[in-house]
Amino acid sequence: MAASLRVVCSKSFQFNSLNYAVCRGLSNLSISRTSGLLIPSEPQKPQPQRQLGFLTELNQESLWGGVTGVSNAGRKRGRAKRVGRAQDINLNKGRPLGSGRDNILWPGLNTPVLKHSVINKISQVPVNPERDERLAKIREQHSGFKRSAPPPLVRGWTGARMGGKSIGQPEAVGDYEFEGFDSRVLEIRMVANMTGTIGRKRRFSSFICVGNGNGIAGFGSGKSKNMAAAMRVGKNRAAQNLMYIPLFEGHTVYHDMFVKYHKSKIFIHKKEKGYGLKCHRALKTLCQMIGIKDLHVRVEGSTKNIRAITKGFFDALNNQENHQDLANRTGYHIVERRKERDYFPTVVASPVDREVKQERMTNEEEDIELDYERLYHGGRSEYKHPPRKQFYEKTVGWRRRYAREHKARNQRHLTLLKLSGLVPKHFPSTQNSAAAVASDAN
Amino acid sequence: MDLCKMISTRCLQTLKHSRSVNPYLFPQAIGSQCRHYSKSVEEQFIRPEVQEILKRVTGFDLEKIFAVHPTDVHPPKYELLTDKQLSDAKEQAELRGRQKLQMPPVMSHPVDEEEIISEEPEIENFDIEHPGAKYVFTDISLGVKRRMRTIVVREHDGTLRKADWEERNRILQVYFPQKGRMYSTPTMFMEESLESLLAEGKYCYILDRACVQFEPDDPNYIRVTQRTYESINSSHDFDELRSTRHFGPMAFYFGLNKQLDNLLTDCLQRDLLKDAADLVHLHLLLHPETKSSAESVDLNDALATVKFYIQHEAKNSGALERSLQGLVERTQAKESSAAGAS
Repeated sequence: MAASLRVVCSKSFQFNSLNYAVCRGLSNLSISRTSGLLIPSEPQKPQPQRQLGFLTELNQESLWGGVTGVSNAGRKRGRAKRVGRAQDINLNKGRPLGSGRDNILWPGLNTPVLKHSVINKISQVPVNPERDERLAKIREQHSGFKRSAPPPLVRGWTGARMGGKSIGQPEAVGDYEFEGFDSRVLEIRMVANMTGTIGRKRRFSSFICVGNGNGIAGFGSGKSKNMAAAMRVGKNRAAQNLMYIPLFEGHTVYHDMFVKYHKSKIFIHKKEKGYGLKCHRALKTLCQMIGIKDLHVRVEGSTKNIRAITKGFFDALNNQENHQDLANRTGYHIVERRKERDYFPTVVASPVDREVKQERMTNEEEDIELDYERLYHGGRSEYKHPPRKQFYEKTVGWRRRYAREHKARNQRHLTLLKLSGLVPKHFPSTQNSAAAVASDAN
Repeated sequence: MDLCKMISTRCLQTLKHSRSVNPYLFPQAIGSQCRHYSKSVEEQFIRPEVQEILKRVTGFDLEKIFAVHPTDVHPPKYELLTDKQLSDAKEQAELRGRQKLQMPPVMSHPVDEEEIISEEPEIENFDIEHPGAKYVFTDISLGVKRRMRTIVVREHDGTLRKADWEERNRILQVYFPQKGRMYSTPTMFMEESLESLLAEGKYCYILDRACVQFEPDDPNYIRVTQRTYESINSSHDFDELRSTRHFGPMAFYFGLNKQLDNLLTDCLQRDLLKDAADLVHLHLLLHPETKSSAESVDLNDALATVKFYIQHEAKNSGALERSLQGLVERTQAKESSAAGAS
């Protein structure tokens, strides 16, 4: 572009009114006296430079508006007020007119034209290597409020919402300070009702659990016009509804349980030490407040109704039957066998105030009831998802191969069984199959 | 089958094939006391009266036999049992406890006699690609006992001979690997590592692992177990091995080496007078030359037996006498308090 540049030389030539691009071109120009034109002294390589377009036509405000702006409809909905909204950055901060990466002095732009009545020439001073860093720092300083991320343990479930976050110790009731207690938000949401005079009246409703992590816990709900007050009310109500939950060896529940509350079905599984908490996030928080360390819970049906899940879980925990109660109810010795003790039988409870039953029940149903694994399940079993099919099982090739291998499938295993004598040598024998066919026909 | 009988038959089977001529290798006693044994160590160990005594002094504490050991953990299982079912379960547990206390056999290391089958110098240096290589031929058919299996080596000079015990162990571990046994000896059995483990007092761990890693007539097994017993004897941690399968072999080792003093002291300090008397009986059984002097003693009287040992056989009679005195005082105090209460 510079090679084809021809500017008519006139007396009213204003050097500092030209923009940066042209100035760069001019620094290598000399005036040709013969033609009176500005002609480059030597041919230069063309450099792509944009002199026109919306970047040069629009001002800063409208340019940023395209990126960070909110439409009128959005403004009405309050989006313009939103915290954490994208904010414009003043790119001119720390960068006065004429200053650039190459640090060139332009007389009239960033340096005076005359110095000691001599015209200054365009020149370059040494480049500042820390310029970019300094600019970034200045921009960061002016880019508005930045929230520091809370540490992971106090972040709650998501970090963005209050769910799972601690709101501190409950307020003292009389002389009693709730020492060692902590509280967690299980749910907080806006609720509304219609009144005759005001119309839609909005409030916040909170659902809080409180516990000391050592077997004492409770939950409560509170409402108020603002969020903080609602949580405070809920926390103090929870602190006045504390329950004692007996725990097996202080780390898990006494036995597996099933409970249904509204549409939420909860399957609770007792687990060994070191297993951890594998359950719904609300239940995990509840377990932490109660002091349960090892548990597996599956929630089926409605998993979003946190109030129902909480109430159902506490119902189940309150209806636990310890070993002594079970022995008294059934009339049998309760014997514990642990793998780490090589299944040595340890009597953990024997019937008190009643004779030990001498006969095992012959009734089949009774036997099933006395099967400890199924004792508290109420005939329920949780849904197990069938194994997912591999992606290639849909393909034609795989189906063909599957069909082709039909005859050989499991034959190796069968051969081994036959060799070991677990399966008769001539299995399936033709005689038997013929007899089976005959009996089927009859 | 009676457990003692079972052990005897097993040991006899192994004896048949171990050409044992030298006695149990004793670090301190080589060349002195052990030479004149009329019976080999194996034969001494499987004597029914010795086995009976060793089983008695081992003790039978079910809580210790079924103590918590490191495994993967699961939630405990529960059963609802009637009285009879409970007593059956306890009986079963006791039986399993007895099985767990089965003692590992005490054996001496067989002396290897090179048994040459044939010498064929005409096929010398048969393997041109690997000069100097030996070929090992192993019978890998199923159902052959470990010690019966034929393993022969063709040397590069054409000699065909039977494999020695070290080669046998290596080859058998290749073809018939045993669970938990490593091909190369674990570092923990090296001198330095073993010493540090002993300093930590992990006696049961060392002995259990040695049982898995070595055959009972392996010189390494003999070295490791004997070093462990020595360490226990110096640290007086005999109670660590009570109600484990290693107590019997340890007591046997001390009895054979005439080192029973510390163990007897421990027994007396724990009010185990009967065990102490049993150990003295063991001493008399293993050293028949002392029996003549014991003829005047009533061996059914535990106290008299122990006193006899202290007078005639003990090396450190002072400590033994003190602990016996303490035991007598304690029993007297108990008797008097019981009389006072009644």
